Amino acid sequence: MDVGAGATRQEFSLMSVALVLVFAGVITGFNLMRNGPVGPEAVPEYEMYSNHSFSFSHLKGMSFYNGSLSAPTSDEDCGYLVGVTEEGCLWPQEIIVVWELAEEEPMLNESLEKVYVNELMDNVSCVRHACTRENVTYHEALYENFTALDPEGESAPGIVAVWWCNETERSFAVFMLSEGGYSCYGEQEEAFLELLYSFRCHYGRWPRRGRLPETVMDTISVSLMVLFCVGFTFTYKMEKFPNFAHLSYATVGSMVSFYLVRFMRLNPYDTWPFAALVGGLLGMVLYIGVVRPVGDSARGWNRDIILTFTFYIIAHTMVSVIGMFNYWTRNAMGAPSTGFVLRGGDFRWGSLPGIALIGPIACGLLVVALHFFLTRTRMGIALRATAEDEDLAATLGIDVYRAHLSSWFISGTLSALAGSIITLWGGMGLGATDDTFVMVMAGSALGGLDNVYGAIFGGIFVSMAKKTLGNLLFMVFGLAIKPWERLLPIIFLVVILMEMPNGVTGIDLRSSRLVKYVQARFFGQIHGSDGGGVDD
Amino acid sequence: MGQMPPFVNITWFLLRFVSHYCAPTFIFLAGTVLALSTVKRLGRGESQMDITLRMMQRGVILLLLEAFIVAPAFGSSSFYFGVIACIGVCFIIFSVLRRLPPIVVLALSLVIVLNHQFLSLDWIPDDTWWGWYLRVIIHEPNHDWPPFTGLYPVIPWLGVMGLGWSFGTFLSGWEHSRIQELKPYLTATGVISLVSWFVVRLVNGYGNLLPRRGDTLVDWLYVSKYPPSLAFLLWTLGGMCLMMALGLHLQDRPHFGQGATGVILALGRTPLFFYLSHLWLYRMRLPGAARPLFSLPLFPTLVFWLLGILVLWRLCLRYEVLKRNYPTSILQYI
Repeated sequence: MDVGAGATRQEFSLMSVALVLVFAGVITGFNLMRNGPVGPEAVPEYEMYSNHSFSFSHLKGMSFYNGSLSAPTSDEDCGYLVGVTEEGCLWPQEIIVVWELAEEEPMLNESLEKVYVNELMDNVSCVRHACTRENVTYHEALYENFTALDPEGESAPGIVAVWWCNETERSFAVFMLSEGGYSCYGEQEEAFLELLYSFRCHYGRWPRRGRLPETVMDTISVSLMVLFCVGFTFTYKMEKFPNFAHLSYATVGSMVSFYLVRFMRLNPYDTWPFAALVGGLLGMVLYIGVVRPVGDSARGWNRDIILTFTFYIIAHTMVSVIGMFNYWTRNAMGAPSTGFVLRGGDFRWGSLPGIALIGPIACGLLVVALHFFLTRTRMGIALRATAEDEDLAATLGIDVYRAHLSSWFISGTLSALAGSIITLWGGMGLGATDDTFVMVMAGSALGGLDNVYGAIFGGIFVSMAKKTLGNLLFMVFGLAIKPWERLLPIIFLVVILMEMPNGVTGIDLRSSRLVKYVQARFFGQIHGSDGGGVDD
Repeated sequence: MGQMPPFVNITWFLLRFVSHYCAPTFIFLAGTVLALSTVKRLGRGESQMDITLRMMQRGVILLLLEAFIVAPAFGSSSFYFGVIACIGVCFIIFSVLRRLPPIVVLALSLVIVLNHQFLSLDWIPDDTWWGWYLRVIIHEPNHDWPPFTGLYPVIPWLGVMGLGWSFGTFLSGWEHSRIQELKPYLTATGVISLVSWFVVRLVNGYGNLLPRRGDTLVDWLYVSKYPPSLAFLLWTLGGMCLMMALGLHLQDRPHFGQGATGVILALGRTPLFFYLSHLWLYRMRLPGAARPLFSLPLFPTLVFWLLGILVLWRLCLRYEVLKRNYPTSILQYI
């Protein structure tokens, strides 16, 4: 029989189809008898609440309503939530989360008393049961079951937990009071504990420390952009294709810093060498694992196009990998790694944070060091020679493999270091690099994709122009321009590639009509090969 | 799965509901086409091994398309296990399953469709990422553990594809000149499916992963798609059979293939290209952009959708020509 294809009508005869139906019916009947009509029992579903810089999971179908406490602080630092279950859900009917700023660490016993007195209820006495010490996101918490008794003798069971978050300097109280005679010791307690143990109270911010001044932020932003542009251009010059994964090193660098600060308790500045090393090694791995094999099997444009697409996919995959890392840190370690800022570990320099000084200086020193490396060391000169003409460099005895490997290490190091610096300055997120990458490409194109020094100029210009142009457009169009701001980097890139495909360093000033005019007008002579006069 | 989301009104509900036909029809017909093309290739003298490898290749390409084109269009990570990935895995499985006798494939498919709701995956750990992801891929669609999310588990949809495969093998033995004779069979199957759907919803037990909560139209029609319950498949595949019968009926009419039917045929000749391009066309924003450039009320949205269909129609026509000009390129897979 010709199995699997070209079945004839005889193979689907009435008898055979009837037999199949009977067979499927018997199996289904057996399963129905064994399992009942609905199948495996459904487990309760949970969803996530995430706002006010904290998050927790709660039973699906529960809605939370905001309220603010009478305090002179913003509602993010101080407020309360009332969670109510949807009609039809059995438990829990109401959960309340209260949080407020505390100058000093409060005594937990006192906090618990305060909850009973202030938050819970009037004209109600409480019979308190076993008090337990628990951990909520690494903070010690008091957790207690109680029974509330009103003057008429009606009783309602409840649960309360209090703790202080030293990272955000806020005290938290979560409590649930059961109504309608439901017990707080079965499924209700499970739902409450799910909320409690999933609570992340320092959701990536230090609320007591304000934003950096605009000028400081701009300076750091420009410095980082220069680092990114230089690294990107460096890779392009060596390999002749745009490395779409260049900013992935930055994300990796920031994650290394995050991990070492959060879980190993290192100072953020101490993490820079580690982040740089990981970024550099990642660059080397990409060269050995991807660029070299592709280079061996394809030449010319084919190689460049394959590598361009490959690195686009790598960049995309890196986002997923970082997403997995984030999930792991959030669920297994209790600290989300997106949108975090490590500014709490920074030192103060007068009224400014240390990164305002260290960031730009570090970036400047790195660029200068790169210049000396490329012009004064044997390896640097070998790198430049390889970038100019690989075959010629190889015939001159230069180890081109080592040269390529070094260039990937250097560009990975620069980018990862920049990512590590970002963690002290602004939030780092999964998609944070998308816009930045277009800016980096625009900066590198402006500086000339073959010119590392031009990338410095390009990085500075693009970074400042984006800010200035954004402000100008905002003055003209108001808030309506905000959704379109993300297009600015793309517009930059398109305009630069159309008008100056070789970048500013590719412009021959001597042939500029304006320069010729100035020379003729003020110096009375014309330089240039054409020897012609000035057109009117 | 889960509780009923708050639909604004019946119109909104029906607009969502009508899209339920897409996935089952897509997967069923993928199985049908797979069977027909296999018969064709065997007839041309291609070896079984070549056909198996080709099916696997197609499956892998679909997985890549899901990861890098479809998932980003939904704003999901590359690990998202969606309908295209599901079809890809089903193709890979069918590269082996196809060697079974067609009647066995039909029996297995029916058993899967009727019994997958009893499947318990308790033996797979759900506290490790790989266990969770495996559950998502096999039978437990959800979004709870990003990036290991997915809505189209393989097991139930493999059954649907198997039904399609069986239909395809049946069609391959049917003389083309007698194709119109299929009309009453398709109509009968469609009507029986819809009657069965009514009985399943009325009894409100077996076959309903989401039980009927009341007696409004929404209560009756709100069936579980993730994973597909028997009620869902009876309604959608029954509707598909009726639509196929209608197609056969229209096929002999004058002017068939012109006007609206011409547009539908053009879209249907390049289904995967249409699917991929419609995602990005209606998304109206670049990868990574969180919000659309604009949002519209219901009626302008329908106008916008129609305009999109016109654009896609032209695109599909051009793509068809391109595909015809380069028959051995990668375009043959899309």
